[in-house]
Amino acid sequence: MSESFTPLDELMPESITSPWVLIFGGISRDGNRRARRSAREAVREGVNVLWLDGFEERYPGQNPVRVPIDDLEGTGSVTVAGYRFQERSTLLNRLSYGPPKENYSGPESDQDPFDATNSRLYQAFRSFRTRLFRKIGQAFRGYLIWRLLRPTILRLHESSPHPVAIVYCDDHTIPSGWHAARIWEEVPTGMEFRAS
Amino acid sequence: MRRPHLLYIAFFYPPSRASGVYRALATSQAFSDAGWKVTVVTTTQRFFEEEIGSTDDSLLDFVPDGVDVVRVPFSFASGEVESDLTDMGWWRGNFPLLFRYGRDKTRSARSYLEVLRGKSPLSFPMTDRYLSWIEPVVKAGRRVHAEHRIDHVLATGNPYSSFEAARALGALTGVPFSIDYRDPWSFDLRTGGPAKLDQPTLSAEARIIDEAAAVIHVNQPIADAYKRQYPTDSEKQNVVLNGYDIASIGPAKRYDGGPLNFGMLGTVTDLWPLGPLFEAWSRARQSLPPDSRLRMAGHLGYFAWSEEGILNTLPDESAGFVYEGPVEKSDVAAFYGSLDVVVVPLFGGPMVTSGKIFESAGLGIPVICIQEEGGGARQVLQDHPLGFGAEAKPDQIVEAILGAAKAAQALQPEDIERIRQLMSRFERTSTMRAMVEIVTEATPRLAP
Repeated sequence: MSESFTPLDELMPESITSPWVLIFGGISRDGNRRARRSAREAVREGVNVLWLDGFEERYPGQNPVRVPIDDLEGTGSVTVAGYRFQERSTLLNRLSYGPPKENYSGPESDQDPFDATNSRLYQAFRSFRTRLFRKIGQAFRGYLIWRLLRPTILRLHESSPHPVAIVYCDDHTIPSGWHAARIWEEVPTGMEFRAS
Repeated sequence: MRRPHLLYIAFFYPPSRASGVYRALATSQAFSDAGWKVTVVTTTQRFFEEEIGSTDDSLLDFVPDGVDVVRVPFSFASGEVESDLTDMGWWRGNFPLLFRYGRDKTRSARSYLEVLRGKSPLSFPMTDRYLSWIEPVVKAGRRVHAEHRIDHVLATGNPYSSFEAARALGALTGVPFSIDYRDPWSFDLRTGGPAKLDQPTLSAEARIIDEAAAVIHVNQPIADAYKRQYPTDSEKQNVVLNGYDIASIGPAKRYDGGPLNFGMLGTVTDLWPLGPLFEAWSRARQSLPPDSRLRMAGHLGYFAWSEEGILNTLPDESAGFVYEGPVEKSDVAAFYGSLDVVVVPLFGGPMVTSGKIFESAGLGIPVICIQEEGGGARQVLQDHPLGFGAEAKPDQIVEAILGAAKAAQALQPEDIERIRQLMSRFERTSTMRAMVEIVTEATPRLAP
């Protein structure tokens, strides 16, 4: 078993070896739990895991991408590719939350890139802006995540063997899973990975 | 003149092996023999196989030639399957939260629509697990009516949703309908008292009986109870006994002085008084010829999942007991032909007759019926010269076993023939003829 973490834009599709399962890890706590269960099950069965992770929770002193999976036993490997930062950079999120901090310095940073300014005026403006765009952002978030992941998925489709399963873990990853299911038509899809 | 056309709504029909299947088969056979065109509306093989695991494919061979079978799907499962992405449409696949928002906002409107379209349990003010079967049956019935005009709708229950389907179909098409109760709906079969039904369900039954052209029951005590409950509709209440299939009666075994074979056949349920029977058997077998056996054949429970629980309660072969497993309908005569005494363990009182008692009576060999005094099945045996009744008490059963053993040892072929002759009035073609007559009288186009 091996476990590696990489930002989405640094993922090398060629490094994915068969058999592998594609997990859209979701952005909710439940989705993250579900993704962990699926990853554990796949590793136990000797299936490699590519986990595209956008989980929101922050871990003190850790980049959010680096969420360790406990109790991994088996011969499969896990590659976690985080897209949280890229998602924050999308237009709608920039409108909702402001631009990501310039000084974000990659996976090793322990700074919160979304920390707001202390200015009252700015806070009021941010509150108004958030109210305005947040609902729209929520409603379209799943689709925006898919647009974000699409180039990666297409590269995977071109240069990697077919996955054995596509797992989507919450409502926000349904669009990604839905499109992936159309790209790999023969591959079974589900909310959890279960060994056959 | 055009052949009369019967639409027969029978939820349990082959390959189901539910106990009601035999009456349903006999009904379709009787109408077919009487020259009717018969269309049976039942449910799918998938339901019987996958959801209740209760099938006997050999019964399909007994579906009469010329009978059309329309299978209307039914499932206990409800709700939407959401986990399969390939089932989702474009809008839902790309914007699942907007889809859900829209669905939630229109939930009440859609609920009202479903009630109006008959797709909601609220469409039918009664309680039954099969309500969602009603509307598809009505739709299928109307389709059949459009293709080939129906002259009468006959529904058998349970499930009693079939009755409501018949009523709705009758109301929509103007075709008269009749209902055939295999069990009473508003009475408790075991106690004979009122069943625990809610008021809407009782009202539904009253409405159905009020609109039905004829109501048919399997025995007189049930018909009498319904006459008392619905005095204004008492003339509609009829009795058509279950009877036995002549194919189930083969050559009788001739006792040769060796061990005696006691046997019982049927779907074994936990309602059977097996505890007292096994206790009585262990006591009585000491007085029987050596190696005498009590043999049991049939499915254990109506559903696949009930098998193991019953199997654990059965004694082993050292107790002189043998469980022989299910017997296909075509092998029933051979099984009965290997017995010296037939045993019919039953529950309940006057309202419980069961089909097995007629079959056992028709064999001509000694019959032991274990049921409370005055029970419906024991009344069937009243005229049987070798009928032995016992309550579910070991002492009484021992007495019956010893009495039946003595009778079996003394039995001559001419005695068997005489008893068979006497019991031939229970033969299914005789009993089912009454069903055809009742329905024919209730069909305006055919009534004299």
